[in-house]
Amino acid sequence: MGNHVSGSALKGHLQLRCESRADGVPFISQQSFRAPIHISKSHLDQGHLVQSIVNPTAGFFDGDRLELDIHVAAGAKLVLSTPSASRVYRTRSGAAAVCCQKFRVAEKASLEWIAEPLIPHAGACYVQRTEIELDAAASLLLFDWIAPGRVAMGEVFAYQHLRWELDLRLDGQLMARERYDLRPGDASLEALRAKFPAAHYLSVYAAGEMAENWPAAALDALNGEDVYLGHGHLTGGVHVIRALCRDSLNARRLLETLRLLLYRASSQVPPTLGRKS
Amino acid sequence: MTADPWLWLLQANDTAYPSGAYAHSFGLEELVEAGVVSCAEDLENFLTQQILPALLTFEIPFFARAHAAAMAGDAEVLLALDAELDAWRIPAELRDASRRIGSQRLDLLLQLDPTPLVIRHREHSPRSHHLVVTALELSNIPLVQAARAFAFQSIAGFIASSMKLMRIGQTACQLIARRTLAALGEKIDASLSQPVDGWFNPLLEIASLRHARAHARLFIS
Repeated sequence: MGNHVSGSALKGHLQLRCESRADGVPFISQQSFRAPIHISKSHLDQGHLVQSIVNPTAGFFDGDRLELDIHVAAGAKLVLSTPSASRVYRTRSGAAAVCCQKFRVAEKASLEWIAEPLIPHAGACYVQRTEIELDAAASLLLFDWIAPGRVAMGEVFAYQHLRWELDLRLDGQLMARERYDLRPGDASLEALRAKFPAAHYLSVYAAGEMAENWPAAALDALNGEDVYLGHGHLTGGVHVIRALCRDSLNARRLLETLRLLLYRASSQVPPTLGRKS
Repeated sequence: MTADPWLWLLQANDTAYPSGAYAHSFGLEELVEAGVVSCAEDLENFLTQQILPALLTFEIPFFARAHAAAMAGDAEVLLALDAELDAWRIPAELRDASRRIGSQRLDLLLQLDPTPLVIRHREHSPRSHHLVVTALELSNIPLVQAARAFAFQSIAGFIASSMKLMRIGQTACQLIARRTLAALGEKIDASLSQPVDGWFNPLLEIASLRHARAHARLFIS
């Protein structure tokens, strides 16, 4: 049988530059995108420019390659979100879908990255590489959410391979480095399964204003029967939260609570994402 | 230092060598508290499925780089590796534990074997990571043995702390140690030439992050 899927793999990109006008209102000064990605109309809320990123092909197929280059210029405030989950479909050719994302946040600028969950379908193969470069006076709130699969369809950790890479630099200095492979066939999922059999994984990095008044006690209180959460600081004032959640409902609830807590702790109101009223 | 590198290896790896490692559980205390590790079988599964893979994919290849730098007397690379380790060790408590043990070993090494490289390294990074200091300590030992000594310290540390945290006997611990080390021995040589990579262990990361904020605890980490 011919390899139809890999033959139609997409190589797309999103280049986005957000700047601040003289009156402090952020705007998109440069944009370029190509399938499998599209951007919708942005809106302003609470001094932030909220921009949704849409995947019109419904997800990643094998061989797809997406490159994101996001630059938030000095003083600008940008929130990037996705309106729906990012699905990674079964690889038929064996090739992975690859997403390389680079975020640069300048002095007194702020970036929030709040994507819906990554849902790797059975047999999916996906690589995500993230580079974050923060100015010493930049702010960041970055969420990652990895689902175990299509749980309602009986697909729990049925994907083939996920590869995760992340480098976070503050003022040029490496603060966090993550490299890992998740393969259901080896022991790499044991740490996920040990607490909850179909655990959802949440990771948060916060820096600058978003980490200045760290709500440690409130974060501790989020632990319970359905959530296993830890938080702490990296060098340089960057903070991290890691959590395992029993299911998607608990992950969703935790994500929303975390966002609210962290914005409130920095004396800000979280901008609406435009997903619901 | 004794002229015999093997006797030095035994001395530096002896439990009487004052590294301070006995005061650390490296996250195990919280995992026991959380009920994730509660019996001998759990401990063995934790070691073989979470700790050994991390050693083989990250710690041992990283140790090989540090050991090569120490053998070559490359102070700059050692310092760069020491700084990079901070980025890999996400929980502050694990970074601090590694630096506490490393600094204690480095202070002692300065007394026992004050080579120009040891003196220079301590001047620039007195709170060095355990991994880097062990590479310095064992730079006269071939990598294959030095890496085994380093890996042994990690496994032995978890097992020693488990006896204070769980209802588990010495014999059971030694059986677990023997099987775990046997599994390590089968793969460690291949790991020495692998590029440095990470291992996904959110459970241990969360445990360490939570342990740092625990109201009561037996171990420093």
